[in-house]
Amino acid sequence: MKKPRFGINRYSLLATVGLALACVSSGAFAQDTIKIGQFTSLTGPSAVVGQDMQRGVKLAADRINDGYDVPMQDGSTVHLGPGLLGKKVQVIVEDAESRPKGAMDAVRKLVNVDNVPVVLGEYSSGLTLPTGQFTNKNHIVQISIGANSPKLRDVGPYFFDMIGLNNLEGPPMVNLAMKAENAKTFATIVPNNPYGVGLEEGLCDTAENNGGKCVARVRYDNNQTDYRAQLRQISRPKPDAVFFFAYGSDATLLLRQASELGMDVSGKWFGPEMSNWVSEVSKNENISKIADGVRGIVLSVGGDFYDKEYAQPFEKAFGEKPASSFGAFGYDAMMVAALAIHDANSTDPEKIKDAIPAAAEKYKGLTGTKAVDKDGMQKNADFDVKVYRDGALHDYSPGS
Amino acid sequence: MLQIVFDSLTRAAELSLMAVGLTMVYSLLRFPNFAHVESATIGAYAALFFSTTLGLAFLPAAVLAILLTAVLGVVFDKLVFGHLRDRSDIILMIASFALGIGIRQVFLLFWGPRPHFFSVGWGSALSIGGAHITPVQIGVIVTAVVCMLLFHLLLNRTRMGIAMRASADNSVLAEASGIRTERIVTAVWLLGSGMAGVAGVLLALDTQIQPNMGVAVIIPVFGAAIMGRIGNPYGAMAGALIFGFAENFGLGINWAPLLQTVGLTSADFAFIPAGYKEAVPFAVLIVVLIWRPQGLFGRVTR
Repeated sequence: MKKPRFGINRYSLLATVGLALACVSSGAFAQDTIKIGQFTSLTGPSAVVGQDMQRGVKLAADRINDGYDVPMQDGSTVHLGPGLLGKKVQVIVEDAESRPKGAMDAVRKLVNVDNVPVVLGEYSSGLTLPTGQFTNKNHIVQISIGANSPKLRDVGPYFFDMIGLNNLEGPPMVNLAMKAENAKTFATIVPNNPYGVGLEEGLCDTAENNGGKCVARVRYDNNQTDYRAQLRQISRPKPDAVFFFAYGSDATLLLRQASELGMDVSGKWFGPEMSNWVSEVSKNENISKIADGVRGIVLSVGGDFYDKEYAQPFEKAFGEKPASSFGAFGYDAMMVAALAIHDANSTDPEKIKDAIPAAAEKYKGLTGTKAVDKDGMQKNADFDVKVYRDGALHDYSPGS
Repeated sequence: MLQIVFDSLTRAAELSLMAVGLTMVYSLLRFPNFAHVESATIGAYAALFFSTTLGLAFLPAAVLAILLTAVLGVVFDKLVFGHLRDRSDIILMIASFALGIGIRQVFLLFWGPRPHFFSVGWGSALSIGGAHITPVQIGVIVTAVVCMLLFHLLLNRTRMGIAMRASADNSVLAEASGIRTERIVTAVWLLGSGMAGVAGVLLALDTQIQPNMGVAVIIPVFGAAIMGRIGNPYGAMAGALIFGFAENFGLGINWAPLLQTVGLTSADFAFIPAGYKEAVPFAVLIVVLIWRPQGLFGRVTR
């Protein structure tokens, strides 16, 4: 038994030395860099979007280090760089592993070992809520890139969000269903997670404020092989319209079983954030036919400004098109953080925190206006109304 | 009401084919095989491979896939579990976990996380008394019933079946009376994995093919086996039926009239929240185990 024990010791020794070297080397650079932390999922189910966010942030950081004229809402520009406050910007990226535990480990390291003043965060609310509470308690600024559970509003003064919270999806969705189908009664079917629950509350509150009513609210568990019992709960009260949200492969099964239960999917179903399932649904002819005619909204990211400022340079830098819209949200979060550090003329989290609202207000985001309210949450979100037809999303306006 | 019965039967059919195989392996080898549900996934992907990739007609492709799944059950036993026969059941259980993870990752590697479908037509749903049932659902129920009947005949009318029951009861005694236990073990793996393979093909026809389609039903499959007393195939069938009906009726009952009379709601519909779907059959399971700790079909051992 002696030999293997020696082996383990040798490796752990190597690892310790390596770690110590890494600490020393990062310490050596500390004087002439400004460190920004980023935790994002590079492994696990969210890895594709995670890498996209990493690239978005990197694109912004590289521009700042080269010197860049950042466009403002009023048409002017603010020149940043090269670097910030005369120092190079260094983004330290840690893997959140698509799970809260991984995210917490990553953020603890960024805060306790790297001493970063600002952490750029995730797009999953499940990973953002605990890490947000941690950074807030430690008086470190966290800017969430894409998480949008309404619960994030209560995290605290050091927490900001660069995407509209999903209760903002309520008004455009309800408005769409009321206009298009003259709907008064609604059913919701959403995943049982912070996103789904926030979405459901936003939808049903809006419906009630506008004289409508949610007659069924179903929260289902992901990754099941049978949704018939859940679907019957939304079909029994015979709602005028159904709001449904599902991630890719759950969406295909939900659509199939809904149609088999005789539900009128194409005429009565409405989808917030349809981009979550279009790719999977369009791959199968039968499923695609069931979904044909589903109307809904998608976050409005695109247009000339986005293409020139982001999509084309992104493709040049990384050899492929942006994988999602979240990379652009990451870019915006990095730019707002940089503007705040520039305006505050300091890397003190206290001063950065105070400078963020003004910086977000004036900055012209790739993903729309970034202005935040008193809780640090983005005020507005722009949505496009779409219809799923022949395997793709097309522009739609009710009544046409 | 009729709708709930159709859906419950479909679910019970899919669960029973997996639960029976699981409980048979347990009865002989005395360990919970967490990789058992992966045989369903193997069956589904194998049928997809034979039909879509190799271009066979669906029926021969499905039969080939089920045979392959059955043989793979024996192969896994020879490669993994056979070496661990004399170890504790905890070791075997962990080994089965590892095997399950490995199998899922192989499918993820070759087919990706995207769901797949067989290219056979679905047929449109039939309307019976206001309820909808698809031809696939009818096929699922009929196939499961036929399989269970054949299995019943095998257990009671053939030498092999009687030897299986004898080995499950007491393998030492069975071996002493001339039954070659290792041959029985092979037969049980073939049969158990094959039945799970059938379940996989049916589940895939009824829903979709995904790397996690097996592991997604692991909890109800184990629940069904435990409810009927793990080790007893008839218990597993009854357990699957109870689970199928509990899941669907639990969520399907409208409690509003009852709640209205006590003044708790004014809404027309009040259901148990869908998040409790899996909890309903487990509540039934707990009641059953309090009433009969040995399971529905268990004998009291002294």
